[in-house]
Amino acid sequence: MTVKKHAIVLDQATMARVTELCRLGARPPVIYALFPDFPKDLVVDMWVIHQGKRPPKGPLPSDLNSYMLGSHRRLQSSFILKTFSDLRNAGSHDVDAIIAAHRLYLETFKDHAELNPLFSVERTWVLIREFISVRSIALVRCPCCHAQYVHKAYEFVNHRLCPMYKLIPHTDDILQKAINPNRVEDSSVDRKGSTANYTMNEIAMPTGKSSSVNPFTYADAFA
Amino acid sequence: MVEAHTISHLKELNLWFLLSLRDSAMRDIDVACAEFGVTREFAKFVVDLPISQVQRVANTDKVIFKPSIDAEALAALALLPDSNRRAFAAIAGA
Repeated sequence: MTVKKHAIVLDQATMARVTELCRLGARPPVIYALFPDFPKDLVVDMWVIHQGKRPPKGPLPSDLNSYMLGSHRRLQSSFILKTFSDLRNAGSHDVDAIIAAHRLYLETFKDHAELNPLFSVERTWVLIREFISVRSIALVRCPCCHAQYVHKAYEFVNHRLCPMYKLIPHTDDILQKAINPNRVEDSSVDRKGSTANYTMNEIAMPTGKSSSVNPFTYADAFA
Repeated sequence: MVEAHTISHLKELNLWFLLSLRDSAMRDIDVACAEFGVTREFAKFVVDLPISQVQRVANTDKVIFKPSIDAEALAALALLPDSNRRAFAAIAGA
């Protein structure tokens, strides 16, 4: 009996992850990047089975500005990164965390009148890759509402970019504002005077696990 | 001194938390971890726990979970329109 020289043992968990990515519409290059050892022709076959058509060709999205143009996009990209980050800290597998973050993102924003989901699973993957591997994106915390939102790394933090900036009256004392919403603020803590409105004298530093190894590899996933 | 009805509410809170987490984690453990702010081990343990043990654990006169957001985020939630609350609660979590 002969054994194929390059035969790969495909475990059930990997198959389930690839299947779920195909269902969500992740194009083959994304799946190749996540599972470099997975047979490429099998990925294409699985994609055709789940999507009913050949995978579209073309470059993957790479423009970082598309995640930060306007408060809607910034809120959605912040939601994805924060959910992914929480899941990772909770001990989830990286690929499971990507899948769960994208599914929660779709579920959260699907019925939203103004904020329909704007990002495909490919864009979710690119965003997360930029966050933990390329480290060109950071999550910074707004001093007023304490939300964590996406910010370009190594730039001065500007809290006017907080996606909640236009929705919540940003004051130094948000607790009092919540207790008494009709309270008229004195000039010392009004919107212009609030420290929450200033460009802070700090630089957005990338967060997350520092690693010299690309975290998006099949080998790492099982390390 | 804590009144008896307060203790009863706390037990109910514990039970609802554990049962909701258990139900959610049985469907998708990763989504449950994100929604409830617990670790994977915690969620897996609650799923594996027999229902009689869940009741025993819930029958504690103390709240056994803590809020995932702080006071400032809670204040912001009170000021936000309905449509943005869920997304905000996610990005403001600890």
